[in-house]
Amino acid sequence: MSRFITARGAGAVAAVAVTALALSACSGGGSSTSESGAAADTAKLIIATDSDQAAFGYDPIRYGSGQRMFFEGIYDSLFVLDQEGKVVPQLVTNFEYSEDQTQLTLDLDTSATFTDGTTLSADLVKQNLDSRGDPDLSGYSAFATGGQNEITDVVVVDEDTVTLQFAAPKPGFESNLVSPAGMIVGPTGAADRGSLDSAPDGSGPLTVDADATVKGNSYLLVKKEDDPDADDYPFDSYEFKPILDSQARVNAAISGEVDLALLAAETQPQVESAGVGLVTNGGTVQNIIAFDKAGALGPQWAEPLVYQALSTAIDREAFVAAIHPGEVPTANALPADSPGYVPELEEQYAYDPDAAKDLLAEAGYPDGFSFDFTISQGSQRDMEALQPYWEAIGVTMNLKNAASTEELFTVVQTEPLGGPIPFQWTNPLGPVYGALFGFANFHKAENPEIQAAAGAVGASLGSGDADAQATALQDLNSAIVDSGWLIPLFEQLAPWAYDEAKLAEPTFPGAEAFPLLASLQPAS
Amino acid sequence: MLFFVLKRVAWAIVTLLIASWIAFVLVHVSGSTPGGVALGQSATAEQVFAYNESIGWYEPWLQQYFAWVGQVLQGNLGVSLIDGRPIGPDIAKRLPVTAAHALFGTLLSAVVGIVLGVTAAVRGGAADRFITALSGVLLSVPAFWVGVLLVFVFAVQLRLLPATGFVPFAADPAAWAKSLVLPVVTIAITSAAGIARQTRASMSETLTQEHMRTLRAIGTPTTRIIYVHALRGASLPIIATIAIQFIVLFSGSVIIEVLFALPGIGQAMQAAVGSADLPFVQALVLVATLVVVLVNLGLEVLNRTLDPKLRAS
Repeated sequence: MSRFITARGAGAVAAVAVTALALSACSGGGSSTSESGAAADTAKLIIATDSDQAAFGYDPIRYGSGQRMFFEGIYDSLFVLDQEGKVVPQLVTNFEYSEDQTQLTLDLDTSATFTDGTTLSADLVKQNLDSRGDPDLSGYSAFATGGQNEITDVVVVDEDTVTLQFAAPKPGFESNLVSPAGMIVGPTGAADRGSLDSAPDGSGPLTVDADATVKGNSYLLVKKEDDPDADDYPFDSYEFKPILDSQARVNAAISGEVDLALLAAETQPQVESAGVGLVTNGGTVQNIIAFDKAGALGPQWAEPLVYQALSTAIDREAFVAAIHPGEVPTANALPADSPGYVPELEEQYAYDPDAAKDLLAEAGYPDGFSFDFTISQGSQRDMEALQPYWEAIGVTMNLKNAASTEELFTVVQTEPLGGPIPFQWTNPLGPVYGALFGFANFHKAENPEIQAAAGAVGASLGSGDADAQATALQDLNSAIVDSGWLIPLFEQLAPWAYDEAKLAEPTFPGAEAFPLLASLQPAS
Repeated sequence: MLFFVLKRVAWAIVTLLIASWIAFVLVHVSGSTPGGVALGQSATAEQVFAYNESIGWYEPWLQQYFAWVGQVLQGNLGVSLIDGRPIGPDIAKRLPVTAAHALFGTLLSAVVGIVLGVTAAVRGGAADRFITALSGVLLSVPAFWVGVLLVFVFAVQLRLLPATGFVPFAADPAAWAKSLVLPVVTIAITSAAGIARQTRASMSETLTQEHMRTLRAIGTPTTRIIYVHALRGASLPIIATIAIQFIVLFSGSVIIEVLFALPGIGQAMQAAVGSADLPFVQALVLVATLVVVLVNLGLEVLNRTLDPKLRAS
């Protein structure tokens, strides 16, 4: 048998393979980044996110603040956040509360124009907000009947004026009408919300290029022709690429395939070492949340000392180092950058299992107790890590996997604790009324301290007094943590990698995890 | 032959029906309901019940199943519970992505695997030991790790190829090819080993047969002996291995598609399972089963064509 022939055959195949690789690598255009010295390319900004920004279609009210950056160019909102994180009007020209603060009157900017050419009107705003009973529209859940921010009625005063009516005084309510909950859908979408599954209907200067969009893979937002606000956006188009795997996102950022990428905390060193721009913003705190504050499932759950014991039993430093490297351990419900941050809480709830046992004994449970906790794929690792800390003080947490989606949804009724759940505090009243007194309060617990503190926050937001705001936020923070309605675990930083040759360092509105899309500027 | 093909097609249809029925039953016993998934956490039990009732969820299972089959035969795979979009067009968009990297990956791994296997079988000695050891290493290396390594070298360090993403062929053929290089090479590296081993074993057995000696004795060129006579004789198990590789790649492409952010079937399956999008899961199972059935059908026809003994039986 001729070895020469066989070796030649193998060699030929190998040569073909190498040549093909080299040729394909040399052919075609790559992603455009500017050469040094040349002006930054503003044709397209490519943004990699960790989730599908339009998983449910293009109805903005089906989403939360995590999708704000995607939708804010497509839809205008009654109110928005400015660069400092303050709530400012956008579709509203003027707003006024009644004396008893149970009514909020909005004067509207009727020049805003939608996809079909119609303009904003009071009737359209009413039509939008009247959908607040639709369970699909999660952004409206707090406005619905029984919600903590219930709007009892929307009254059309005239063609450019509406009045929102509330059952109780709602100072600072405008902060609930920021993007995306305050986004206004055009008449076509408002009449048939299902139509938004495939196409948006907004008055913003951007729209989705359906031909260039591949659902779940790439969404291209382009400027509408002749839109008066188009110049607010420095880039001609914005491509959002959901890249679910964190390593793949890092690879895309480092290789220059994307211009801006949301990272996972543990991948920051890799990005830094590759010389790619890195900027972080805080603001999201991950917490264990109490569902049964009323003691309906067991008297211990109505006892703040029990929650304080559970909090003190956690070694947050070790937990974060093991499970969430790169994040910041915290015992504060509010983030470190917030004026409501209370450094003393870190000492008060520092890891001390003996102190935790004492607190349990003081609460009347010297031998501890046991309870069930339903985990999902996302929470399993965190809860398995917390389990030994609580076991050490006599509290046995029985973990069980959810058998169905519905079972996971019903834990707010059937189990005392849940989470980890992230809270952003840009609008402090949102988590308080939407979650703590909202979906997470099935057993209708009361907490005068938190309610009083939240009321003070609302009043201070309306007054514009920074010192009063700081004091009110600190009181709110302490009230939440001391009552145990939240057991904070760590503050989640939002690290972003960016191409310094193409993009100026992104800035963030307050403590938001996502920048304002229009604020992303080309590198000078 | 025609009768054989018709018989196999009939069995393929039965297989599809059985697999789709199993998927249907599993979806119904999963504990989740379309109403619970579609309406979410804020819906009341009454709203969930009303939604489920409106779509016939509480009808007898056989009735629901045959209604679904009827819709499928009309080309309607249902709508997603998550975003209400028709499933059929979504899958149709994703199929070419998965098909591309599965097909090219299989082809490249087949070429590499057959060359390595033939070399090992023909040359023997040190070459055989080296290739056997190499294939053992490649069999134990996870595809994800290989992919990450290739991305690090070619995309991150050398910036020769894209790290993620897929460009449709119609948009830019050159970019399409570039976007497939790393996923295809990843697949080839991890799949070629199995083909190489099978090729080596089959070729070693075939080369020792009597008719090989006869061919040498009558002066048949060595190349012809190896690549025409021996390889053909050894081809049946090799082709079966290649076919199984393709099926595995097509149905289990989620790792490759997540790593390279390819919008294929695997990525859709991961999202659908994660969000309990029941109709989507059911449709994807049907599509994956269809691929398996078609590949098996093709394999059996090919076997019959190549092997005279099967044709005669």
